[in-house]
Amino acid sequence: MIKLFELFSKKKSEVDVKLPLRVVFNRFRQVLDSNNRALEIMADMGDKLGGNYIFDINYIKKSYSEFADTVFQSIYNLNTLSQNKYLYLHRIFERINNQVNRILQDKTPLDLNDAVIFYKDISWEMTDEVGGKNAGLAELGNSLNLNVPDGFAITTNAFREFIEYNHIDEKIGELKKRYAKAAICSRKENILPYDDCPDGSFFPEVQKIIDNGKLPDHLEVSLRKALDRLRNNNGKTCFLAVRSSAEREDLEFSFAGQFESVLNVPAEMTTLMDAYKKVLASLYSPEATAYLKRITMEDNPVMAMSVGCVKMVDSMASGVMYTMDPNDIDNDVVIINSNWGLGTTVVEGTVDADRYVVEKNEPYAIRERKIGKKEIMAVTDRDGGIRNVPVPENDRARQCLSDEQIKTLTLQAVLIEHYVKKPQDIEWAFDKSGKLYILQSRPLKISNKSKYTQKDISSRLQNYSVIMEKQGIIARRGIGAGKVFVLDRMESLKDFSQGSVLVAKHDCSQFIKIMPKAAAIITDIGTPTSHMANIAREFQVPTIVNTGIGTKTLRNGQEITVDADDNKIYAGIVKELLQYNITEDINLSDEKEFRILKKILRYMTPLNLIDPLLDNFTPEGCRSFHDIIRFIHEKGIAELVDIDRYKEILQDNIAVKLDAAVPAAIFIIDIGGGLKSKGNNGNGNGNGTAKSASVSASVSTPLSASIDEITSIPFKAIVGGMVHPGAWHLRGGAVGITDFMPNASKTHGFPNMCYPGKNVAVVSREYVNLILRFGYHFNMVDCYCSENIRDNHVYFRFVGSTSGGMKRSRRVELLAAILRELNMRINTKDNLLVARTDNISRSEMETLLNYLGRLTAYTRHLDTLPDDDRTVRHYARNFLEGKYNLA
Amino acid sequence: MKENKCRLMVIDDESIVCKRLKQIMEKSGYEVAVFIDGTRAIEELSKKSYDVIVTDLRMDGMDGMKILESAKEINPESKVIMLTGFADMETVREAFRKGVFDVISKPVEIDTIKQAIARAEKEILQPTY
Repeated sequence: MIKLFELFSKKKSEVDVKLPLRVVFNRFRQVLDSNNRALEIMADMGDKLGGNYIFDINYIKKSYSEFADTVFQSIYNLNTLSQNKYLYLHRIFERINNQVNRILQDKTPLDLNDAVIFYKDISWEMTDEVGGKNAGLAELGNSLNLNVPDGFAITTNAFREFIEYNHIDEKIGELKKRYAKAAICSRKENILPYDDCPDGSFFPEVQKIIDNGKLPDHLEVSLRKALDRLRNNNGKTCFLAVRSSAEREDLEFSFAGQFESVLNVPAEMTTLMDAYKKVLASLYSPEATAYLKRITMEDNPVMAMSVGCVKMVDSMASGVMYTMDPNDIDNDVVIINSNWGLGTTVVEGTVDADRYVVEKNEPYAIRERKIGKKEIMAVTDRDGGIRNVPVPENDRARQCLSDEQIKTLTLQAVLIEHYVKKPQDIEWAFDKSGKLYILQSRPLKISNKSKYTQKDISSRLQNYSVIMEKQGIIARRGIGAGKVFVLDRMESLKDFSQGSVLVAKHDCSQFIKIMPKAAAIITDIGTPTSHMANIAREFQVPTIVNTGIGTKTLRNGQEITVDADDNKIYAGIVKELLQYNITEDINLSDEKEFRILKKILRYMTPLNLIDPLLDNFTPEGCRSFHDIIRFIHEKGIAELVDIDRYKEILQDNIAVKLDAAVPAAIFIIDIGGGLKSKGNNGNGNGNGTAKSASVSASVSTPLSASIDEITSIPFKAIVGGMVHPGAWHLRGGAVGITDFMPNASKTHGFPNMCYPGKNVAVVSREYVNLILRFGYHFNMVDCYCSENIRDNHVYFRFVGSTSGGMKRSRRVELLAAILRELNMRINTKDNLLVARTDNISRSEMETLLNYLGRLTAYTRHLDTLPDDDRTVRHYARNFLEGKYNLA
Repeated sequence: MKENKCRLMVIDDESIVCKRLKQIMEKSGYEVAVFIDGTRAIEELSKKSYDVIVTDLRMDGMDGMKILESAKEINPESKVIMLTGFADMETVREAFRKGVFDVISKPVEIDTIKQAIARAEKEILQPTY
């Protein structure tokens, strides 16, 4: 409550009084202008991640620079408006701007500059920091909730610091020179001796150099902390697997088997350091160097090594599986190889492993089963390290996995391939309790590419019938096929099965629940800038929005192939397209430009400042540019609705009073096209967006405005709800005395009742920000509503009075129940409720706003919510049926 | 299915543009050669004929305007589509004077560039003049 007062009774210091209102008003509009522009650029950049545009790094730089300028301008504008109340925002701006600029300059942003990052905090696009292997494995754990071992990555930054601190490059350079001289002496000019290493002495010397290196102090501290944390989570005596995860490993280049892994390392600082250095040294091995030179065609290829340190899984059986037959992509199978013990024998091919070929579709039949003669297996040593031991006689010819386990593996293979969108080569292990771990997943090299060349794909496609073509907008490119799942009610979402195509009426961010399972998404109404579209891009799900006819055209259970590259939907499964897609070389999310854009957007789009009444709603609480924009919007409005100036506002014709059957004085401030101006032709002032309207339009407005004179689409809809018959429900229920004000207005049949207050609507043709105080309840609606779905949003906030004990939470509960029925996203905290919806059509928006209008009236008598056992649900249903009586 | 779709060359010093256009146009059945170095592209043009050339305007060394001139000189029938991140009117006018088929600003929606290429192809098959 205190906060609430702060919001309005802002120190009437030197500040406000001096500025003429007209100036304040103009400055307010400048704030809105720059804010809107910033939001537009942000949406535009997010849109580009869908792959539907060709862009390059210049686009990212140019857009970001314009964006940053605009946000800067917004901060400046807010400070002019508020007379420098928020100068600190500039510092926050600089902080975030610096991070982004580092990304644009190919440097690690400072908040990712740590030497160590835990798997829980790693996501896909962090390959520059933690290498492909760590990033891929952590992503599977975090996004698909697969069981991956707990652990952390020692970053490429730590590597670079280590190399620099110990002058490793210089030392290796000298060593090379020495060897080159020796080679000349022995007349082998053309051979680079450290590559083919004739006497094998070069690499051990490199290893010695690295082994003698020391960690800079601060790195050692970080590493020690990480190790302690890992031990606390997994037991003091745990062991680690220490594995390479080089910068480009498993991305552009596979480096399969080139780098070192050290298994079963005691989780102690000394042993971990030894293992770490061993893995680093392998970057310089003659094999790795030669490989890197060959594929990069660079003379001195540079690569940084991140190292993964994860809990060692002491396995019963383990191995490798391919999510596709690399030699025959027509063969729809998963191939599993397994042995007893640790997976090394299978990876290195030193054992005659069991092999299963399993069909990828229900019921996952095992098509081939070959039981190997498994003579050796790898096991962990009690003191660290691993060794090979003979397999007990009885187990040699015995299948080391149960059929149930084979099915479990197959399901995970399908899930992972589906999520990553490319065939995978996966290492896995079942521990001694039978729990499955995924240890690594990387792209599987397909030896025989699609037998369809790109050229004849387009001709082969003509044999398939097209159900829909060029309907809607592509939000995420790609190909997906499966059975249609038409979503009729939100509750059926839980029935969505793996690999289906979701067909829904609207974009909805709740689809995040099924994103990892979806082959594709199609909506009737939606936009590429919706939350859902953003999530689809995050999960790489091919998505077409706003088709208009999806739910009518596609039938439940029907098999279709969605080509969200060419915006076509085919009947049946188009194998050619799927194969083409899966063997294609380009994976958008691996492209540097996409990674950079995604990284930058992480500093731009997340919204952490949800509600102005929460403690973090301060300049310091802004962690992204979106937060800054949101903060500016809120504070800009707050400046404008400063209550103590209404007389001035009215005199100056800046505000008018709402003339309607509501028991409160509501002041309307029109910032463009929100009210019919008498003397004009009645259309407000044309396009009427907050952006382009001019102040002069309000000069001829009268002192009061009736509903008919409201031209603001959202405000009119809300007022329509507020005057809904019975919504105020003035009889019945014990109305607390505090609800009434002595000098009440006597119009519209509300004798002796008028709520005190600061009831203000800031409106334009498409916008309203409405603040209402009834009794001790406080309502706020912020809404943009136009023909353009992608711009539409509504935000509703209710703060209940702090009196009334038990009633308090029930009141919020009741509102939440109603708003949930209206498909709004709800957050509640104590006495506060926040509800949001966006990307819905104008007519749906108007219906919703009408309900919100009724609800603002309804909240008035929530003070009188009876303390009987009738459920919240009961009242919610009543409300929606138009029964507003709580008695 | 049309026989022998036309031969396409893409020149852009940003490799992602080449990479993606190649992938997208090949899927539509075109034969696509890509170059990130304008000079090498011109060498190739004098050896082998290309119907449609998509080139970036602003590149170090050999820029799009020079490529346009050379391409038209080598084969006046070829169609050149120019991509640009910063189009000022003067440059656009100059490009049209020199016979560019179309100038398209980056970032470009994939459909837009596909349609431009299709129009150029159509004009080669059935010249309007």
